[in-house]
Amino acid sequence: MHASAAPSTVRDRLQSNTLWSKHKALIISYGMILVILLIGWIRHPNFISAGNMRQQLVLASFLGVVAAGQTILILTGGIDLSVAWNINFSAIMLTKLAGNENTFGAVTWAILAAVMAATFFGVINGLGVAYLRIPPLVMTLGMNTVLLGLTTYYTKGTPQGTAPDVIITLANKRIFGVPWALILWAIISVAVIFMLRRTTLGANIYAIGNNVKAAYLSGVPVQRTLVICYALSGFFAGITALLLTGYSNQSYFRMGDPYVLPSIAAVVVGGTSILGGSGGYAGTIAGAIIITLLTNLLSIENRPRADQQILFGLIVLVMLLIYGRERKARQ
Amino acid sequence: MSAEALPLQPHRTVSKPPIYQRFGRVFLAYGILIALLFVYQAKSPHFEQREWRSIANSGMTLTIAGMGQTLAVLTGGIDLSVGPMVALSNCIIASTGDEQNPDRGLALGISLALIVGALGGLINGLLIAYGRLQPIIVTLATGYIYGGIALRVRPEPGGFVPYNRTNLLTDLQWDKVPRALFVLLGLVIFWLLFKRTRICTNIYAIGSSADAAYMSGVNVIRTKILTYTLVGFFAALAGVFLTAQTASGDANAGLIFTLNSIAAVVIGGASLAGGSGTFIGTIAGAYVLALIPSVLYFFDFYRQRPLSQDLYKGSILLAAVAVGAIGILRQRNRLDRL
Repeated sequence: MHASAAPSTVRDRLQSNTLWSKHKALIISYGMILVILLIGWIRHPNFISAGNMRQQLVLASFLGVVAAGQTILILTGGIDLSVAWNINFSAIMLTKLAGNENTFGAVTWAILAAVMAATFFGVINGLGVAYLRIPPLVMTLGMNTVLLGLTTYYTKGTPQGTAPDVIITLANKRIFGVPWALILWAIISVAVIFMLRRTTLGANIYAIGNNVKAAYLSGVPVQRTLVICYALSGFFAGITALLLTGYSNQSYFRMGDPYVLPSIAAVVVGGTSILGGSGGYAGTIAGAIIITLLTNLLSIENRPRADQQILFGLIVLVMLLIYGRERKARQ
Repeated sequence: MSAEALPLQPHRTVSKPPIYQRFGRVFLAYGILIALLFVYQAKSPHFEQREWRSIANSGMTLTIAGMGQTLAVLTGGIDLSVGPMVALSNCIIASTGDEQNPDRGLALGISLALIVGALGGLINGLLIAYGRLQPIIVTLATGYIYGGIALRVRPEPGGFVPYNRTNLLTDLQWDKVPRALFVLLGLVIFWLLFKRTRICTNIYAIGSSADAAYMSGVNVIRTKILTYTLVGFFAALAGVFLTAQTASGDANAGLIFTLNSIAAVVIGGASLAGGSGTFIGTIAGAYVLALIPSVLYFFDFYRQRPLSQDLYKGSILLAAVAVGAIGILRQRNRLDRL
């Protein structure tokens, strides 16, 4: 990044600061959206109708919000596999605490408690990763299993209650033609991009992802930053839980499962390196939209789920081969 | 101390740490396993041979899948396509079943499944080694693909598996010894022999430091390709055992083995950073995970909330890694704690 102020090798000089070399991943991923839209438009003119686009963007916002946390973690070189049941636990808490009544107090308490619970489990992940140095994959995988058990324990097998009205509005209703969910996603996007690019926390995140020991020696509070990142991922999982619960008016088992691997795929398709230290949320937004549009296109085409999965895997692989490659070994 | 005396100082990295330090996590895993077996035996009202059979069978699929995952983890990588590959193998075998000629159908299915498994692993290896991509994300993507193919092969659960043949793997031999134990013995012998080969040394070397391994003349690319091919093969083999257990094909039945195999490897004491761990530990890890629900079943607090087994599984996984991580807090140098 900025460290290579004086280009020393031929390779560095070749990689000059052209628009293409600096934003290759962004250009490719946003170009990919156009390609999908074009293919969809040719095959099904209704695909790019305003109604469908709005609907798809709302669906993409659910994925985009989980992927915000995932982006932050992947930038530090971590990962969060616990989002599935973190989403689910907090959704189930929301509907159970809100009950079937819509009193202001109950609803506020339910929303706060649901998001705080999700953030709390994020903090636990962060403590394990930062202070005990448990590999993020294992820590969040274990947390996911614990949360799966906690959810079934808490509900005795049947989720209760319905989504409060305000949450249903958030996920389904529009204001001046713009869905509330999209407004929320836009606010989160601006906040995350600002945080990553303009704040010390953001700089620390990139520094940890590039080289954790160098970051520590340069005075980055590594462990505290990691805990904050995992807490943020939990927080965004909680927000996603609100949106998903509102969208389907209820909570149910396995509602978070379809968001784990796609959230990682969205980050990677958006050009963030799985090794950490390079990329950003702007790419992830494109990644979330690509994945949502593709899923929609394939279901319009009436392809079975099997084909969706296969194509999905192929696209991630192709995107990886285009820009996810590491430097040639031992250079 | 004079300068000449310095070379006589034994270098710290040369001396091997004591055995309890090197295999502490493996001992811990076997400790948990023995404790679970003890509780099971004490609580079970009629503890007989068939109990041994069900215990032996319950962890076998995971053990075989864990064999492959151990190899991937030893190189410092990971394979997230293990579960989908178990599912694909399971679907292939159930779909080639032939009621007229069960033996031929089964032989065809098993050989096809094993070839597909090795081939899928080979593709993973080629992408990782030549594509210079991270194993976690490559296998995430190929896992989608293999899972999709499994769904194509068998969109609905079912298929034909000759029941009297599956007993060959899952029943008791001489009415006493679970046949799964022979499979386990075979795997252990394979591991002990494999450990002596140069390939396995190279796998450990790459996991410790890929750069140092390359400098020492290890063919990193070939070793990685071979490793992931083996991972795919063992995943398919796990699918064979799963088919023997369930006697049907289901594209979703195998998926849990991705995360469970990683958990088994980790409980078994391997380091996800690579270079340290052993299949012997993974066996304990797999059987610990398989035994937890059966043991919990004997307790009232569990029977009231029978769906909460994952709470205990996850807690044991986290406790096992946390105990292993305690050493990090004793590091004096704070840089080494990172």
